[in-house]
Amino acid sequence: MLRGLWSAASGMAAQRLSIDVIANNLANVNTVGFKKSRPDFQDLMYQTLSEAGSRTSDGNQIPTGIQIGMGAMPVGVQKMFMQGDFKETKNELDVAIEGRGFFKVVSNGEDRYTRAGNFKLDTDGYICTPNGDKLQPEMNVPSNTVSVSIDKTGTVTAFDPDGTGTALGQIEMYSFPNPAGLFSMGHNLYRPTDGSGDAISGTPGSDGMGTIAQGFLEMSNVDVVQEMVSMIMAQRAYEINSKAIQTADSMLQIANSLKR
Amino acid sequence: MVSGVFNLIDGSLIQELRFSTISNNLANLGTTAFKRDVIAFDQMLSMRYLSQTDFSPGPVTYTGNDLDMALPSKGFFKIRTPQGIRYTRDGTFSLDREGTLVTRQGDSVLGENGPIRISGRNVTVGKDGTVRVDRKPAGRILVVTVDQSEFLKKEGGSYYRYQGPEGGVRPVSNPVVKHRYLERSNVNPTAEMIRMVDAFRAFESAQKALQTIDEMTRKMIDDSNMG
Repeated sequence: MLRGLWSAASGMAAQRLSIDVIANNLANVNTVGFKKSRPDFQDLMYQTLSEAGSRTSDGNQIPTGIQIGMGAMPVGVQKMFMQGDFKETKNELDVAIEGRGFFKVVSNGEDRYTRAGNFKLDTDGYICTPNGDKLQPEMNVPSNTVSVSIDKTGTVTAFDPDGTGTALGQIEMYSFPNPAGLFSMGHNLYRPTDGSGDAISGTPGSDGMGTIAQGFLEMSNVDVVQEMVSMIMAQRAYEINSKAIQTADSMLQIANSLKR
Repeated sequence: MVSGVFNLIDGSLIQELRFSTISNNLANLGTTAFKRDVIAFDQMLSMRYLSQTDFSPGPVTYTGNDLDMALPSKGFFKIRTPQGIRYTRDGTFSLDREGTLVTRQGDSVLGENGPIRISGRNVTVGKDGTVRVDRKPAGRILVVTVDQSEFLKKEGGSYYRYQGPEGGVRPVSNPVVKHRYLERSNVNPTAEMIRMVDAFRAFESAQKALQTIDEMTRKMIDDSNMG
């Protein structure tokens, strides 16, 4: 059968994946701490019909052979960890990271990492994510606390009604040699993989981890205009590949009509 | 048999190859640093045809990703794979577990002094290809040029294998590397679409001619029976 038919089909599949990724990015345009994804494509293998450097029947050396490509394939969808915009919320348990670090939380007994700083208090007074995963190291805010202050370096201080401050601890931050290799768990959580490397711990403000801004949230880093442009491109590329399939179909029809 | 039949069959096969190549180009509209292929021939309807890769540069776009690199001018990154040295223009790099700069397939990207190790947080790549990690130099990306690009054979996965004479691949003395940019595919959809119509119609014409020859042959047989 026509090789081009399968190449065009692989092109359609690739563009469909593009649309899937773009749709998810757009769906998360207002998700706190969301990082957009990007699909990466490569060309598939090539079929070599004649080798470069071989000789023709009249003795001429062919400078290049004939190589026919077999289409495109997705090789990965990677997260883009560019800084998102900051939104001021004035909520004292909202924290944004200005830099490359991650918070560590424990979800179902496993270490997970997140950039979403919309923390809450659970019934026992522990600082946790909206899903109830406790921020590490665990910090318990006493029940008589009227306000909590978190400074740039992540030191959490609780103030009682008399205005006396008690230091609860310091938020630790983590970074990865290759954050693009992190596995997305959903719920704004990430799990380290072989590709990302192990988490390196540090304190906010040191070692390029970034600093903490209390009363701010890091919004999604999805740029709507850019996504729309990508969507137009993916849709048109999908369409043009479908035309190639139609053409392949017509060519096969022509070949079939040779014998009457 | 009428001798024209064989020429027409060859012609149809060439148009089919042209179509397959165009189809592959279209499938790779979104492939990073893809270079389109063309089927070239000396003369229409002759079997002396070959595939060539058009190495004209694709558009370079900003991605903001720390491990994305693009080569705005001629040249290739040099990659060490288990099968030997390969070349690529696809600068979608990442790091492996040991912190070595690798391609999507996990093969190390070679610098002037071998693989580049990145252990730190802040990666910057200067215009000349010098990689700095937390402001300390960590190596320089090796960019090479190939004298005769027709000796580069595509292997898929954005890799090229060099099959020419030794010494045909030389390091570029003044490389230009664009950090946080990627080169897009150099396929122009409009041009490919026109070529696709062209290949399709040529295929159709060859079929019409074959039918005509068939018709003539049939007539000849019928007439001779009557006599």
